[in-house]
Amino acid sequence: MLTHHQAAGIDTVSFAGEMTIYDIENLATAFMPLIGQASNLVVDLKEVTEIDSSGAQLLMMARLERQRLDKAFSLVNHSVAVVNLFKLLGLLNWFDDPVLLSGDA
Amino acid sequence: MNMDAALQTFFTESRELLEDMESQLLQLEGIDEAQLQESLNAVFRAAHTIKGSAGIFNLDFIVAFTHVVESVLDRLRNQQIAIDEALVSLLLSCRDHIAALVDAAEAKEPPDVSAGEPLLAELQQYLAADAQPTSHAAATQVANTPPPFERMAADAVSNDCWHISVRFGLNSFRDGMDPLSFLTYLGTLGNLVSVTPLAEFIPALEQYDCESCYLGFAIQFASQASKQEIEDVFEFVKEDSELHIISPNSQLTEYIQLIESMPEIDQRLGEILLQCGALTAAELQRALSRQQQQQPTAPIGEILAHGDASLNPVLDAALTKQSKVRESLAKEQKSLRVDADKLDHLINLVGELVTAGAGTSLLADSLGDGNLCESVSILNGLLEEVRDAALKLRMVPIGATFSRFQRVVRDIAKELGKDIELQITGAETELDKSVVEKIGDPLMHLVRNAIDHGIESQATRLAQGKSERGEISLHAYHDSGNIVIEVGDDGKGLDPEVIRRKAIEKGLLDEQSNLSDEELFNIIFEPGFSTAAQVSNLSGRGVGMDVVKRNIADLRGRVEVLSQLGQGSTMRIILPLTLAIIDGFVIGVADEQYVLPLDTVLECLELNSAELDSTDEPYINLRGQVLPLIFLRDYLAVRGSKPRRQSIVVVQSGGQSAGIVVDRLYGEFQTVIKPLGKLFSRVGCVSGSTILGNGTVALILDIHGLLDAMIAYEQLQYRR
Repeated sequence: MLTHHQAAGIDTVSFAGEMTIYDIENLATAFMPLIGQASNLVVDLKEVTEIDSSGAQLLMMARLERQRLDKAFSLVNHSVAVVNLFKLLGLLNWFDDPVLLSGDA
Repeated sequence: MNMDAALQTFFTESRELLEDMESQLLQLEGIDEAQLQESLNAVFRAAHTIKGSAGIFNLDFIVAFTHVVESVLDRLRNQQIAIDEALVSLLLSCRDHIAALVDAAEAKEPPDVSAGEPLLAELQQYLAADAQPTSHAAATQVANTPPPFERMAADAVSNDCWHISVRFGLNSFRDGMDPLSFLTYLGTLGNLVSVTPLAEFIPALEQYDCESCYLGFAIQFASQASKQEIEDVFEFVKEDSELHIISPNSQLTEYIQLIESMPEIDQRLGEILLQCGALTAAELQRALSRQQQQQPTAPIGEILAHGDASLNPVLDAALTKQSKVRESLAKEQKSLRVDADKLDHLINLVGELVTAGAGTSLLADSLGDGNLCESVSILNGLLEEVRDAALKLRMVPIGATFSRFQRVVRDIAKELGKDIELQITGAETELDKSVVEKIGDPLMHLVRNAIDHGIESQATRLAQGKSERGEISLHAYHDSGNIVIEVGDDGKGLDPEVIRRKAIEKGLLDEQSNLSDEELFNIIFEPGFSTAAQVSNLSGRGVGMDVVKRNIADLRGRVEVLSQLGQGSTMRIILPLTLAIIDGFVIGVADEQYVLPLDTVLECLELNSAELDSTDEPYINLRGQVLPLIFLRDYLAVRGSKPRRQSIVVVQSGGQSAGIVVDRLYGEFQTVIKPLGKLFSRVGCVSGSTILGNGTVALILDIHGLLDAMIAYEQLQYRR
């Protein structure tokens, strides 16, 4: 599931629930148009309960594309599921966003 | 890592490899094609590993010589030259020379390189393209040119992790293969030191298909797993994915190949290798400059082919070598070298402990305190386990000693122009290390004798209807508390008449004496006795058999000779299982106590005196078998009153049983054997003494000696 809201020139996209191959098509359809449009894109991962490589790859693509466009892009509020996956795939260094565990961890 | 310790490991490992090499070489002749290939590979690997390791320690004289050997082995392996006896002999000599070089290196002496030159010259003949013997001039010329070996150490990458580079197929997600699960599974085989995602293949937004997989990873992986095991992790995605696995400490060229195999991102890949720690900056620099020097026009397909699983043989060998080294390292960690003195000290202490334990349990029994008795019995149970474990520490299989004789038999047989095969059975039989060390020389004598005197020449054998090839057997097994080692041959056997004549001639035997064949055979152990008409440089001088007998007697063992004229003979060495502690069975006659080795005791019966009085022959009917009786009281001349009831202990040794009549049975007792003084060495029926729990001394009876003495006594009576 994906929600998008805009405030003070910042586009915040919040993913929630599963970011896996089963939902990736819906998520990508909603998310991909924003990658090109938004001027300052923040992706909130707080509500992500499950994520697999396809979800990670979508974020990687977004990051690469934003770099190409020379526009700001950041991931915030990594959930535990996201941190675990990123750790395993070596993505924590790749996206060099600061990682703070959400919730009470 | 401490270089000295590593060097020591190299020496130990080299010796093991050289031993392995020898046994493999000896097998080479007369095995089928598939096994031959396997053996050749093993020999090659051994040589290769020695060369590689020697290179690390800058032992260039070993590297230079071994390299030539290895080249010949490589040609053998690729079937460019055929194996024959001359070549096996040459390779065996080369092995010996390598061993000598290793020894010299360990002793820090200047190696005797000149001894290797004739060998090198011979080896060069096999290396010449047409495998024709070349002139001596050509051979020396080759020897003068710098040795054509490459130092492996110089260009190896200092990195002890596997480098795995994987690019998953486009359809991985659709096929339900998540790279995540492969990495997780890989993590179970070892440690993922670093994972670097390769995002270079992810297309721009417009071309991006969210269900396609564009991911790749560069992984630094620390693991003991083999390449095959790592490959198997990626089994399910093997078809569409690109997988490169570079083993730890590989050659730089392998990384170059990896970089080349992904031409679209080669610069970036280099950085990734750097980043994930696979290469150092200097190594990467070297790789990239090397890459540029190489032919830039090589077709992509060919370069790719280099990168895939069809590794060429050299790489294959390198990989095998590395896995071997890893295995041996793993094995090393499981074993520990301990000073033999420390072990002896431990065994001594355990011996004391056993004596003390027996005393304690006796005390506890006499106090009659239930709780105390229980705890003492638990203590004694543990003590027994500690004893067994301590003794087992010293036990080694005899196989290593046996396999040394393969070479001996081969060499001597060749020298004498005989065709002899050595059969080894029971190589896994374990015995005390100190016994193994001391048994080598006597065995060597016996084997040499069997080859020289036992096995006839081929012509004689054929004339007698035997197979052309003689057979010598080494056989070891356990027999009621003893280790039996037999050296057998199917040769001409011992001729009692010849021995008799020779013995009379030498004044060892009186002309009138009437001896059984067995007694005559035993004369061969007399000093100075030889039946060989001709003295060869191997045997026949009449020294040897007496030394054999003395050596074996030192180990508290004995030798028996079994022989059939024309059929062959067998020398049977019977040794006690351990030299220190046995399970004993304590018996009493009058006020004296004696210990029988428990392994020889079959059962205990009550003596029915009514049954005995009917006849003056001392035997009973035991379930239909005649069981001769030995009255220990009479035999040992023990004084004291007879109890009302006596018991029979049925014992067995060397296939003979007898009943020993005693007054009392005391039961099992862990016996620490204390040797008796020299004075008692001729007493056949006593093998040692021990201290019982209450502090009294008991003699340990040697059942075999006892039975022999009784048989001799009976025969004497019979002759009269």
